[in-house]
Amino acid sequence: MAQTENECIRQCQLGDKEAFRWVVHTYQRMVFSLALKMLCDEEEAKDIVQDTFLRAWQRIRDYDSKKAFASWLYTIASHLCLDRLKSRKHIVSLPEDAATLRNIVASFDSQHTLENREWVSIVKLMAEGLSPKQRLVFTLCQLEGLSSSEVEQITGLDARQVKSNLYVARQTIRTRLKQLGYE
Amino acid sequence: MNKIDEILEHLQGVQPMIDDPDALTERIMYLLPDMNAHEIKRQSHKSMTRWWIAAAAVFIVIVAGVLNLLSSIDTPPQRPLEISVQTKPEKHQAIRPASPVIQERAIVATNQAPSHHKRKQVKALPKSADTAAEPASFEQTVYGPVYEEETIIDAVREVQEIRKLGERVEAMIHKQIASEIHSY
Repeated sequence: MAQTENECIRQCQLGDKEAFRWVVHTYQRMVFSLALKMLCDEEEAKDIVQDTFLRAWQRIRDYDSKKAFASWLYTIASHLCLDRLKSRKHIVSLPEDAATLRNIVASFDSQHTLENREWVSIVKLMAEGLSPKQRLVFTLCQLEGLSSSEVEQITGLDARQVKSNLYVARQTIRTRLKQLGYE
Repeated sequence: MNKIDEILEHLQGVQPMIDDPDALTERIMYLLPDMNAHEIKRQSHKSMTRWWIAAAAVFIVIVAGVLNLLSSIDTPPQRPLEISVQTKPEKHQAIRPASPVIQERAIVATNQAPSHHKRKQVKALPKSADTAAEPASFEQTVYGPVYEEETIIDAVREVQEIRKLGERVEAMIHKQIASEIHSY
């Protein structure tokens, strides 16, 4: 897989668009996941996916194989998400978002697959009160399941800053969920 | 494990689905520019940047050259100063006109500039017989302060020569008068 990926990226660097199609197909869900959890909007998340891969294509020759390709894509997507958040108003959750979360928690045992609108409700509830940086660190660490070192590489923050942002984000979300009746 | 940790654990690593992934892929592929076209754009941007850098370098060189030129002009070469001097008519004692040979020598002495002073443009009007009639005006071109001293020295020398010549003429006249008196 790694060999296939490296070969594919090398072809992309030579201008092979069909090789890049494989890259898009492989990584678009990953980028969409990050974008949806950051922006809480499906259409905006798709725009971020498009912009991320366009930018990746333009800069593919600058890609250094020492860094994981996924981390490189996450870096591009993170910057685009943060730029988009700067121009947006604060995210405010609605009462129906709390009801959605209750239904999801009740269906955890039934292996229910979350729909995108459910994801939006959950993230809106959790993201309320977080700064963009805190939200990014929380999303990458807690929701995407990346390691601290990967998050440091993607965000450019040092270990102390990642820990600090993650701690504050977790504490804020815990307080919010407690207010909703979850202990 | 409390409920909050359970919720966070359930959500970790779960990625939402794209409702139509193939359509999104095609959309992205459609928008991809050709690598060559993009490269050409990058190259042209690079060449524009290089052009601006070259133009800025040429401008700096020109400015430096002009500044250098201006600083060398601070001590300009000596310009010729033109002085027109009018002298009052010399008051001469009434003397008998000198012999033609003496007159010629006098004219030559005033008119002829020494060879090593040829750069001086000394124009002297030919002396008329009636020296009291009109003022002797002459124009003398002097080359700035450096040559002024030399010009003065030359002028002094000439005056001295003329004086000597005048003394010789006077002596010859006295001799002539004495010989005429004796002849009577």
